[in-house]
Amino acid sequence: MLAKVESYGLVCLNGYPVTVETDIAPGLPNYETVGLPDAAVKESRERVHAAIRHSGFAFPAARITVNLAPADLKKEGSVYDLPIALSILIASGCLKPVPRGAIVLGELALDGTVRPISGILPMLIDAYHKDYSIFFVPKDNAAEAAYIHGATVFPVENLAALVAHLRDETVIAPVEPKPFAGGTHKNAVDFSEIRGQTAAKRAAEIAVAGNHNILLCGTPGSGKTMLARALPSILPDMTFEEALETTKIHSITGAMKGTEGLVTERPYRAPHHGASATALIGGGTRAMPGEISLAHNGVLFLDELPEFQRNVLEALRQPLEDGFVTVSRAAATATYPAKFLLVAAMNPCPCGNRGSRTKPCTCSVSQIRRYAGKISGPLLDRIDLHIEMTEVGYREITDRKPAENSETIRARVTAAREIQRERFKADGIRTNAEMSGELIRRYCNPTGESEKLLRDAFKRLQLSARAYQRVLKVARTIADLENSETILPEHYAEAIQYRSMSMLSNV
Amino acid sequence: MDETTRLWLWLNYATSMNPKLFFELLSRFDDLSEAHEAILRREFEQFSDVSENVRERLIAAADERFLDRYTNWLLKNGVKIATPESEEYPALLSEICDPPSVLFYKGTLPKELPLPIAMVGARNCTDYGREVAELLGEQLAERGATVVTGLAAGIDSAAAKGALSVTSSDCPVIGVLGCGIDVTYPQDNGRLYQAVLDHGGALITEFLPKTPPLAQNFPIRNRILSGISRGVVVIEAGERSGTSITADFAREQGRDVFAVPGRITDPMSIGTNRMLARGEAKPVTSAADILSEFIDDAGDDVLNGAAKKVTFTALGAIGQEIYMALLQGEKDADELLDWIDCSAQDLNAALTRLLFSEVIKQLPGRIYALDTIHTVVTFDQ
Repeated sequence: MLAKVESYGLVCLNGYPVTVETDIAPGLPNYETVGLPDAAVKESRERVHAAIRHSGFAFPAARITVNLAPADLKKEGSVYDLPIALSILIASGCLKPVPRGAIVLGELALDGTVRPISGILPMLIDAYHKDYSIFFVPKDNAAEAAYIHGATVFPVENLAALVAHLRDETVIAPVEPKPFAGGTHKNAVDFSEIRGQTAAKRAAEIAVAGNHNILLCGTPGSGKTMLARALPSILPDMTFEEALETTKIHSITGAMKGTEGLVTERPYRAPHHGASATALIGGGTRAMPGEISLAHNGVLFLDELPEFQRNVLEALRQPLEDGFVTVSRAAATATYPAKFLLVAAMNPCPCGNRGSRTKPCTCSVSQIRRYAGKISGPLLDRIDLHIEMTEVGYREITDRKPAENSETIRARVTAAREIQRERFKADGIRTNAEMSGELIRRYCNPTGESEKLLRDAFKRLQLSARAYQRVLKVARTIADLENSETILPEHYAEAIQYRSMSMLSNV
Repeated sequence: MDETTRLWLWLNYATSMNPKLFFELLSRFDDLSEAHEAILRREFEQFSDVSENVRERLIAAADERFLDRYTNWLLKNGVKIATPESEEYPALLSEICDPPSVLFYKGTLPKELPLPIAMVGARNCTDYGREVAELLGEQLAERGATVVTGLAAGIDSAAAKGALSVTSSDCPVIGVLGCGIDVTYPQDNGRLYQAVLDHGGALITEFLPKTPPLAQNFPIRNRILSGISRGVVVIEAGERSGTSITADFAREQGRDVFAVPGRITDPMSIGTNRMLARGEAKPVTSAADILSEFIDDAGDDVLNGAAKKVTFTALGAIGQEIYMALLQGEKDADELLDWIDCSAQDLNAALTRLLFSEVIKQLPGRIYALDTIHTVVTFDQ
């Protein structure tokens, strides 16, 4: 007799349905698994055998063939234990076929208990989008699966309970769908702890509100790193889609094992400047995601930007523009999303004291030029906000004037993000930074005084066409922060300020 | 290249950078070819007092093949030669006590430069120095003076840039180098060198080709700098600087020396202020202060005479407060926020407007200052 049970597999980010087919034919007792199984799948025979017997059923003494279709994709891991056991029971006639549209996943212990598996969320999400709506998952994975609204998720404790459920004897109660709640970084620096730097904090707020890349430039000790560390505290909550996208990427690297199952905090990645292009962009024989993809929907902080290797920085250009990266290797090719907020920090010159009023700069003009020249024009163009940090004086360190805390700023940022989400509902993007040329024309339309300001800026600051568009996007965000439908000349004027960095020009 | 120039080049090469010895040897013969033949015949009676080293160079360079190679190289690289006997040798230069025996130059060098004024100053100058140098360079060129500079970093380059910005001017910019004619120093000044040539000016040096920019070259160079000029303007000089040496040279050569005053607390103005205090230099507050020494119609005596005027009320509420704050000295963005009761976004918007109308300027470190050179704020009434 023949039985079929649907299960699921995962390659990189993409899931695919796996049909577990079992045929029981008369003949000498034999057991064969086909369909490119790896060692863990092959070993399932022993687990399935023991689990069936210890659950109080008879293991058929016949010629058993288990096929995992499609036969040309490699099957990995122990997820198929439960579907295989189930299909054997169905094929031997102890059980009716499983209802249509059901997916069964789980690893078996010898006594029939179902053990949790990794990567369940990306699989189920994908399955849900392919019209599967009933999921039998290990009980310990039920919490993650509960995030999928609209599907019926049955937590399975052991094989016997599942069989009882399918025979309509003891019904398993489906999991209550759980509302998604994004989390915030609990150990980030609070904005109220940063003294002075009011102007830079304002820029950080704009950067987060519109997801604009930001470059912080200032003397050592001016608080660049501290500001970057405080940034996570004002990031808006992740939406469910965002959390899923990010979780998918993290689960590929195996970082999700033993966690709640979902990345709920926006990632904050800060690779050291010794990082290679592969580490940042992705690569390796299996085309694994790099830091930029791990920072998807979150923050990528590159401290000491000019110290990164030139080729590493140049490799950032394409993902910064497109929001995704395709990693090609001989054995594998994968496209990973990489929409991140780039926060870069640098000193104004090699000695760090350029622009300081207390310490003299000992760098020659050509040294400064060489240092600034490490960051190419095209890369700078892709950074929307250029901020010069002011030197922190003694007065500011001792200043006890209360500064705004992160919570207040976060509320404003969240409101601005909400406006953007509403506006871009039909456009398939989420933030102002992602606007294409056409959307910029639609949503930022400078006229009159604004146009004159921008024309001046274009001339005086020698903006490239791309940099000019970035100014428009930043102005849009500033208007959103003030809940203003139209972008006022004031907003453009402020946006231009974030482009007029004298450190990198003026040498 | 004619035979006389070839022989001048030979003796110049052999006596390398020693004009005294050059002219001493020259005076012993009626004609340089006599000296040349004497060397070729290895007759050293008239060279008895020269060192072994120089004698060897005299012999080596006397070789025709060597001289051919040398002169061909000069021709190929567009290097021209001026000797005190030739048309192009600056007239003022031949008046100084030890004029260079041979000048290597590129570009065009008229014998009578129109009112040559040297502009010298510190390499690691302040923004103030750079701004003044550029403005004075521009105004001098505009009013018919030839700007002579060392084309080094800092003041030198700024002065050259200012002068080169005047496109209508007939007055060239002369760059006097402290290295060989084929050496660019500082290395990234190549574009400025080219601009000087494109503008009809000249690059001149007395150093042999391929001479690196050694520290000891600069005092030697400075003697030419002041030598070909009628006046020397010192813009910024530290406590003990090469610039002060140039000023000393200039006084010995009988040139007028001018100095731009700075704040008495500024380290880069110590040298200039001291010259002024001792009466060694005439203070400069505008281009007219320099020009009036040489010509009758020196023009406007205000440095920022060309600045546009903006009324105080036109600055807007926050703009007015920023202006008042900056009147008391430069401030960074955060200090302005302490000073003025407004939000960061309003301040930023106002700063952009003031920057674009050139009422203020931005310095490294997000420090702002009034841009009095470009704009004068007037009060109504």
